[in-house]
Amino acid sequence: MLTLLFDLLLGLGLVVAALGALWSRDLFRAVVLFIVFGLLVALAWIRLQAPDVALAEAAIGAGLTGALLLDAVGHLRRTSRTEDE
Amino acid sequence: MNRARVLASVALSVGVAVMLGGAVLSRTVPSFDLAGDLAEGIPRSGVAHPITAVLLQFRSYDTLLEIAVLLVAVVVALALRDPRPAAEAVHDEASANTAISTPVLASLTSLLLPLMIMTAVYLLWAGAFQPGGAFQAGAVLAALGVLWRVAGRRIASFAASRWQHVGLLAGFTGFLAAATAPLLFGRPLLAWPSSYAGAIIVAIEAVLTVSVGISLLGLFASAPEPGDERV
Repeated sequence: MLTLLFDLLLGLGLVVAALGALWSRDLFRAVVLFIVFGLLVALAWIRLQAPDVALAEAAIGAGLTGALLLDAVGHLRRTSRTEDE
Repeated sequence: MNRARVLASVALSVGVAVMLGGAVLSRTVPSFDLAGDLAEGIPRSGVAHPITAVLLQFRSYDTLLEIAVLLVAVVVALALRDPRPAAEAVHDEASANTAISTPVLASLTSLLLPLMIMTAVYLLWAGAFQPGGAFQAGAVLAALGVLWRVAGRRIASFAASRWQHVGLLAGFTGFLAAATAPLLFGRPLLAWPSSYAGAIIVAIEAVLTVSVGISLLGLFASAPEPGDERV
């Protein structure tokens, strides 16, 4: 019962994080939600008894991709600021 | 026009959902017992963890090609890098000004460095008998490099050095050498004798870890440095 509740919450959280990442107007917010989404996907893989995929997802999907996207957002902000000046 | 588009997408989604539901409900039993075959083959593979056995023994050809694809992707990314040589001195000043530099971050980075290396080595070693392996360990190594760069330590000199190229190539060439070595002894490609298979797999994974780490870090490092706004 409790695991079913957890799975349902996880599924709901996945959809909410995905929608938030897609629809957010603020890029920084979208990237953070994308990282949250990646971590939730990793949890989902663990629930599906695929810890190998979960490890790869957490490290590459959420961690490295998130860092690259954050870097890109910071870069975009700085370039748009210098253009404004 | 817009309405029709919405209606069409709703119809499509409902259709896909119905078909997915149907597929889940009428699940057929596969005619091959792959899980059974795998369990039977594990003792001959040289490693105890089924996933590692599949990746580096039973389906190692796929993994070899995967590494080649990763290498090509990184080479393309590096080729797209700004070819103008970074003026090191100016560059240093610029990144010193813009990189986040707080004492906490700096000391935390130094503290995390050995821990992350240890985690990577553990993941690599654990891959032989439980979840883990070269890709995960490589990702941890790359994350270490990313943290290093975000904390304002420079990795540009490494990114431009020959060591990076050696590290990038080591994984694929090492794997390829190990893959073709059995041919010299009249065995098929990638068919290692069971008695050596475990050691060969661990050696390949160790080299792959370094290569994967450097590849992933290469993608990050070839992005413009903080404070480098020449785009």
